Amino acid sequence: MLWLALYLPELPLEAPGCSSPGQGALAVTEHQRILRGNAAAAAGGVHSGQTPSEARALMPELQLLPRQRQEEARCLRHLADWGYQFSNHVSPRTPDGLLLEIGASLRLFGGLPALLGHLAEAFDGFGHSYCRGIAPTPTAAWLLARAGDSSPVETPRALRERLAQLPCHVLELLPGQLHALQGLGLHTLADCLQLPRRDLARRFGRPLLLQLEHALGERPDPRPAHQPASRFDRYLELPAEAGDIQSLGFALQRILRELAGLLRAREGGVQKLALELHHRRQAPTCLEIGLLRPGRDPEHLLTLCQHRLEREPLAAPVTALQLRAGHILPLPPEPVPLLPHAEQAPAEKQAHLSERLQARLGEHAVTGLDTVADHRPERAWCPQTGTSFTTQAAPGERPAWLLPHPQPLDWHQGHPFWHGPLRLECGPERIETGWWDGDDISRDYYQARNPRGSRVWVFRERRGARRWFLHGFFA
Amino acid sequence: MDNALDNLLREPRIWRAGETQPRQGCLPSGYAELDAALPGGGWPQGALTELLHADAGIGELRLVLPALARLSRAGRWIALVAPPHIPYAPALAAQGVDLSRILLIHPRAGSDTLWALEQAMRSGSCAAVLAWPRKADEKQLRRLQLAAEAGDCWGLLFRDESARNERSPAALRLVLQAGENADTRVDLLKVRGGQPRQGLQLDLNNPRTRSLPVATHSPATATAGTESALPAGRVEPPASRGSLQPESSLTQMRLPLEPSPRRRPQPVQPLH
Repeated sequence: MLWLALYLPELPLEAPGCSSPGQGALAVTEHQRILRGNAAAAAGGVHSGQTPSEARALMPELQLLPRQRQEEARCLRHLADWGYQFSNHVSPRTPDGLLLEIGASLRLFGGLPALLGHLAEAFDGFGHSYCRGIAPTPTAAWLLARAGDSSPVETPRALRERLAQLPCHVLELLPGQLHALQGLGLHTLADCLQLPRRDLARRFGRPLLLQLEHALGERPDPRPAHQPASRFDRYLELPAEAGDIQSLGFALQRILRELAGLLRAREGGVQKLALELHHRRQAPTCLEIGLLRPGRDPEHLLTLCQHRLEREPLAAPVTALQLRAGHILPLPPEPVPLLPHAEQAPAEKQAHLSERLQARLGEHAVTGLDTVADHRPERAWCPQTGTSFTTQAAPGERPAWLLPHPQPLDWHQGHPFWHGPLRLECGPERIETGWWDGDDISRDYYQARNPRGSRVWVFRERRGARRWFLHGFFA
Repeated sequence: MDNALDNLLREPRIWRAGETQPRQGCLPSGYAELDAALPGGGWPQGALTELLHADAGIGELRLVLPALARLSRAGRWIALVAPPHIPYAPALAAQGVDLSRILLIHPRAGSDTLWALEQAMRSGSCAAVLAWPRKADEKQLRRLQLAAEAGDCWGLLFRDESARNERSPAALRLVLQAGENADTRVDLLKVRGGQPRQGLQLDLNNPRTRSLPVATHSPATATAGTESALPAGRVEPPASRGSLQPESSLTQMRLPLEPSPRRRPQPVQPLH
């Protein structure tokens, strides 16, 4: 077993989306105390534990926010979903940490350094500041992360030695306890471990002893396993109102990365995405994005979303984004190419092209073409692919262009005209069918040529006014 | 043997039309006379081809369909961007085009048309892209030409004959006119790596010259590349009909409806 702990000290600031660097001094309060201030606040002398009035006295322009625990929990849950791609045992540690059992994933990723590289690369995209710790027990990893000691402890033997060096304040203690420990002259965990266990428990309560025993692996430390969500629904408030598509890009990218993490974790892909743009005073704009086949590549999804957004202008400035992926479909993992720079599979490239076109031009703007077994010329084709298995040859020659609606022609003494008198060259081919669905036709088709050399397909009605129509070109 | 002209021709800035080699491969057109006039013996791939014609229905699609039928069996897509009418599936299928490889794209606005064209050409997943742009200036055409090169795609632009005197970066420009006797007259306006030629007479209507073996069930023969070398007089029955039905029923079925390949069509009187 090898556990990786991610400690997110800035989560109270980051969860509500107020950690962007350009912002003014800001602090989060809880129970009438400052919990955490951002960099600008810290530079002004604001630190945790102050009362809001003290902090205001130091920095009059300081902006105070109440802590949003629900938001933090939701953020942590999304991160746990994302982390499932690296481990089958992810355990969020409320309020500000994530524990992953990575011992079983080392072979898959090709060793610890490679795994950590993948993880850091993916995690950096979210913009959370974090400390990591790696140890054979979850509690030890957590203590290392809190101490900011990122070098891994891989064997249980080295664990005791490394833990002994940690200061006492990494332990989770009640407010008075740290004071009491220091009063006894206990500054590191080594000092605590030297004391008789029973006395330690009597003086400081069982929780402290349990932490130490869990850290050392002397007592089982089961962790609840997180179950990744079966659907994706993420609401992301933008730091500032976005008036154009370009400024939505960053938020969109972030949200799609989270989606990709969840999809990779569940070995699934999405075929339909619903993107909602929330506005200040209007009903949200809903955009549907469809894929030909399930996919999870965040870059491709981002291109699709951007093309879809470009299709029409924004109705109003956007305050928040919401992305929903209803149904996660199973998708096998991407095949790893044998050669380093192998080409993308042609089928995938074709699907990507058609998705890009559909995203910008609309669902119905991109179609296939197929024949239908019907004698009526206007019904003998359809704009979908794969409806008929056998291509049935039409009895006569058919024109390459068909007019969507037959165009009435002038005629004189029984001879039709279209840019000059038409000379009938071949025919008639009588088509009389369709009485069963009320759309019956009865026509005599001819191939004809006009003086300018155009070969056309014309017909004459056999009922009613016996008019002539142009129906196609032998192009 | 050192005269002023030789000196001039040795200058590297002088470009002689006959010396250039077509960069990409060529695709036999299925019409022996046309192949003979084109450098490399066929349509230039990975480049733009412009087909200029004034009237509809003079064989503008029949000219390219044998090549398209062949490309459709190679697996990549054939995209039709903003076709002016319905590309009629039964006719294309009868010419041997694999319809599952056809992609119809209907953009709404003109700028979307060019965007879709460029996307399709550049993606590398289309073997041919056919388009009917209403207007296209030289800058846009150059962009398309580069996209066609990047995606190794045969870009086919069908334009009005009035564009004849405009400048264009296309590798091949043809003008189609209806000739007498149901022939089609093809003028090669611009041929990259070859000589322009006037007045090529092609019989596109008569199945006799449609010498491309369009095999529905054996793609191997369709890509063998021998069709332009076939004798011009040989009649190739379209395989989509012939392979499943006995020969006698085939002729019986066709006789009253289609002109005999040996005979000029005679005027028909409409039924009253």
